[in-house]
Amino acid sequence: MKSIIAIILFFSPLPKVAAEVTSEINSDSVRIHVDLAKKKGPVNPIWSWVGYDEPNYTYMKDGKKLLSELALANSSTVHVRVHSLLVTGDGTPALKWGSTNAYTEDKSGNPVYDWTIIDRIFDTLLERGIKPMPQIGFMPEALSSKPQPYRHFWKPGDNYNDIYTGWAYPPKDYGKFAALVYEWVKHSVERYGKKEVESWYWELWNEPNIGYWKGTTEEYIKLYDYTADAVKRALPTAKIGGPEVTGPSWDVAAKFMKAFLDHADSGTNYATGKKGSPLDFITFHAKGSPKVIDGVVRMGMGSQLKDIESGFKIVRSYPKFRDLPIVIGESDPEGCAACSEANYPHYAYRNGTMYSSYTAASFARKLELAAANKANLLGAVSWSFEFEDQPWFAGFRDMATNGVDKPVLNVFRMFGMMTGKLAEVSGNRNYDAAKIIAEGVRGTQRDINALASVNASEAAVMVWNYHDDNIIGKDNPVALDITGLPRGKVYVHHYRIDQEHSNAYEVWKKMGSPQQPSDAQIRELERAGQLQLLTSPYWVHTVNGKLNLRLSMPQQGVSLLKFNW
Amino acid sequence: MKILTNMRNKAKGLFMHGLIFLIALAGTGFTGASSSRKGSEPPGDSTRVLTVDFTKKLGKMNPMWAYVGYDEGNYTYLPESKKLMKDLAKLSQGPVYVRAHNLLNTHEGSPIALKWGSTNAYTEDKDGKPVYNWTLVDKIVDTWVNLGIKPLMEIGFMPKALSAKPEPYRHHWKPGDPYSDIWTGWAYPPNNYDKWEALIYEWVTHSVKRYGAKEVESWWWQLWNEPDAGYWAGTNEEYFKLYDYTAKAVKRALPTARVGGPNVTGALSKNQAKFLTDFLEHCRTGKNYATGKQGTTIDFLGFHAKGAPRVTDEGHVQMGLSTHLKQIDAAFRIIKSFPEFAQLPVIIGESDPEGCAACSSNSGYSNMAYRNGTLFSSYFAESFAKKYELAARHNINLEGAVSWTFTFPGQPWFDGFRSFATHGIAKPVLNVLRMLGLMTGDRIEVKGSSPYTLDKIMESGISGTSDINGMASRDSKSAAVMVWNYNDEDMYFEPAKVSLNLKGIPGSRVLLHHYRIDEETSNAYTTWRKMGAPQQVTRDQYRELEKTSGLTLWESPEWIEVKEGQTQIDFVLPGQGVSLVTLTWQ
Repeated sequence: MKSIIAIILFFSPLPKVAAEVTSEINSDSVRIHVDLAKKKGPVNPIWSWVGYDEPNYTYMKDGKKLLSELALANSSTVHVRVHSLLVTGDGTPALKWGSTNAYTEDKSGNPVYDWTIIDRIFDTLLERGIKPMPQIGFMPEALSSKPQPYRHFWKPGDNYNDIYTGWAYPPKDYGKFAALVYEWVKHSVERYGKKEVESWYWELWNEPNIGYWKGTTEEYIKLYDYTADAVKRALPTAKIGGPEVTGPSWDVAAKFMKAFLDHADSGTNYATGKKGSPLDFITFHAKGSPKVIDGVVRMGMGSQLKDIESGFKIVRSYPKFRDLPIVIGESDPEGCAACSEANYPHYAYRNGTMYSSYTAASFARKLELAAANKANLLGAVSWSFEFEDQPWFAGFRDMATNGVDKPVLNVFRMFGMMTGKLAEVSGNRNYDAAKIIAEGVRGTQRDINALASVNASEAAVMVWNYHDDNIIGKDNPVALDITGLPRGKVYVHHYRIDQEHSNAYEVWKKMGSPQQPSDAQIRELERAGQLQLLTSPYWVHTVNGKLNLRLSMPQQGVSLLKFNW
Repeated sequence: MKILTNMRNKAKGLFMHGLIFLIALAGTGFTGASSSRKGSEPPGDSTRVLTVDFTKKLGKMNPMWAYVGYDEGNYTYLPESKKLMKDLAKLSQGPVYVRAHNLLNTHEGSPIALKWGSTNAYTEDKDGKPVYNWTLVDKIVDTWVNLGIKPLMEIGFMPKALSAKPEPYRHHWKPGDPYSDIWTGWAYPPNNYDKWEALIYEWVTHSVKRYGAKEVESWWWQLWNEPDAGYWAGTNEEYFKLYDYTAKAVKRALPTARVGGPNVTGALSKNQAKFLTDFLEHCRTGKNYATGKQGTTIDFLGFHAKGAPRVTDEGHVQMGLSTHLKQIDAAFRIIKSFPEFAQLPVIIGESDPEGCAACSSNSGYSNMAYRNGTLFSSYFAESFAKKYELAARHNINLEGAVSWTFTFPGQPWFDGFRSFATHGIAKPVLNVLRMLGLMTGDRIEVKGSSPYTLDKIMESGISGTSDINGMASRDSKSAAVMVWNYNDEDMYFEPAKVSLNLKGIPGSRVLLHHYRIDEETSNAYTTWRKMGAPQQVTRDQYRELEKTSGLTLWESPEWIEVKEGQTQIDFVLPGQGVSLVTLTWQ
């Protein structure tokens, strides 16, 4: 680097900082070649799916703001998955808790349906053009086979198992549960119309292979049969799926998933007595495994990708289901959004650019794994939203804090601008999903790579500079060659997320990490949280459709280069 | 679904009102970026509604703004200038044209000085034989051509060996000195018109050899500068004569080359109008001094137009946009009165808020104290829009309007020169050109509620109420609307609520970019002042200045819904602010 600076100063008395021209390219440099003429499959916007434990955040101040931003960030429809939609309570939000009081019973044990809070939640989504992915769960107090204790008071630092209370139990009456589901779907059709509800992905429960479900595997399957039957009775064209197991690279989860699919394939349906169960899409989860090594967070992207690969392989092993849409119902660097970093030091990657660069690198590999396994991947839910009324940058797994966007949200804004078809990327960095699953991104070579898309009159190339270790060293030079552009001039936008761009966290730290920022500071933070350009947009002549760009890629930086013509 | 739609609209409308409420609370300088400002609620009384129907085309959005110029031809190859020219070359879909003075001047001391330049292209040996030396001319033109920039080649001024009154030749003008000090031996007619003709012939021939006929055919060759002022120490008739010899030489060297003039100071005063009229009459029916035939070849027409800023009794600058536009209007009228020339390309060879780029405001030109900040940028937006309107009104083929605005290498930071950049850092005004660079395709009609018609602005300028208005364009896969909040007076005005009512947009979901130039955005001058206005800038400070000098997004790009070809975009635009909203689709 020193010699590079010296050379630049020699040639020009002006300090050179434009990142597109600084770096010297040598034999060690990263070379990336994007060939827009080599088109692959359509860009499947798997990133436009988000979720969170706390459904009541949906209609709160910062929740609404973030939902609006998510809708505006995506060219495609955003889908939102939330827990606890059927939990009994007054709707007061809390960490890893939510309630709607949809179902209670009168003194005589007759059902009392109250859709007020669910309506409020779904209205808030639909007003913004967002579709709910209605998660059927958890168990209303009146239906729980073990209702007490019901409300939990978990807080960061407490035992995670504290959350599994009465809502996690099977129903004491499957018929009453089915009636509840039937009423819910029917109400939805009445309120939003058949066509709208047909576009939703209804699904049962969350991670039934661990404490979220206190019944057996067979009891989950039974509940699924009753649920699916109820959904289809209310709206035969509605879509229903499951089983949302935890990462299937764990044999326990895989066993559950297979048992579920076996049953759906050829088991005797608990609700109808017929063979098999209706199944319109399949879900499972995938989580990474960060650790602290010598005081530094080391991400575990390999674990997350291994879960995805395992899930795909299981789905592909069922001839009847192999082509069904797959939604990775939670797909994250780790497993606890509400575990803030003060109590969980291995989660201290979430405020800054580690999270954003991880997201860029991992989503590209989800697409790669889907293509390699011929999996019909529809969505990968980022279980990452916002936590209302918490300290600023408390280190939750979220996309915004107190209404201010974190760097990671800007990766989704970048993805949102990738449309059309994927284009071929090649280069001299050989990280792919298989290698990351096998050894992570932990050696001296960083994962500096790209994802490219091309549409009728535009193209986009996302470049990231990722490593599992949360250390930021010097920028890496990248030679990015793009072919297949039209001849003549194209218009270039270079968006960037790094320490200095699209990064409200760094601005907040420079302010002295205020927990009571002033109005002016909040406005500055809001602006700093937006997706920013590295340079002014510019016109450039291609050389017979080719451009040779030289990037200086900051470590943990993500660039999106967008070309219009 | 209808219910849903209404709910959605209602929610957004409420959000919008909430936002406006917040702004009211915040008082001045709204800076909060926020999404979802697309509302469908009817705008309030104080909102400026601009309606744009993208199916209503007004003709090509000719990039006539992509012309810049400067006195000091030798600045061209200095690092600061090269950096700026790289930026200029990158901001336009088509080529950028550059015009510079002093390309034929003879060396006397350093070629680099304010309002001076020299190349030594022409000297004579002891026997009075011409000695052509293209070294420095090549260095200058190579710099342009290598960047894809094309010359609007100004033929001038008089080499010392050809000057009818060579002494004194080199001037030593500096800001504060009488402007007339600059007019020395280089301003005089030639002592030998044939030698002049030979010089021009050699120059064009050399250019064709060096760059090829096809390249040189795409240039404009243009004679002299402001021959109705001290730049020309000859008579009007002598200028016409010089033009005849020059045109003959250019065509003799390359028949397809394009030559034009006369680049008079304006057309508003009697003398200005007379010069322009007499020149055109000479080209039409006069006896050609060089060929003896009737009339002279002319491929394009040039004149200048300058505004007249002043300092008010209250002590602030008040721009003189009215004068600037009236000059253009007057020249267009004269051109139109010559049917033979009415459809020729017109290049306003200098088109600026006033007449002295090198007169820095820090050197006592207090009426020039508009050049560092957003008064200049907002003036740019407003004035270019009016140039388009004037050209359309008079059916003039306006090819270019040169901003006599470049950079002054080696001068103090933000010294108040009329420049696009200082020390390689772009000033806000350059970002208006970057915005214009995004406005391609056809020009589109904008209907609004502004009380300022073109005629009213020409009559009395813009003061009191500000002009919140727009200009729009439409290409095959994109559309753009530029909106400005302009006032001649450099005062604080309340931010304006703007509602863009956009129609005729294809598709159902389009990507919106909102770029902004204001006190806080795309504004390195504000950054520099916040740093304490340092004259010694550290490396880190330079990085920070560079980062804030570019054209910046006001908020993240957003995908917005289009219903029946329509959408509404609401925002708040501070005084002297310029916004560019672009929509792209596939």
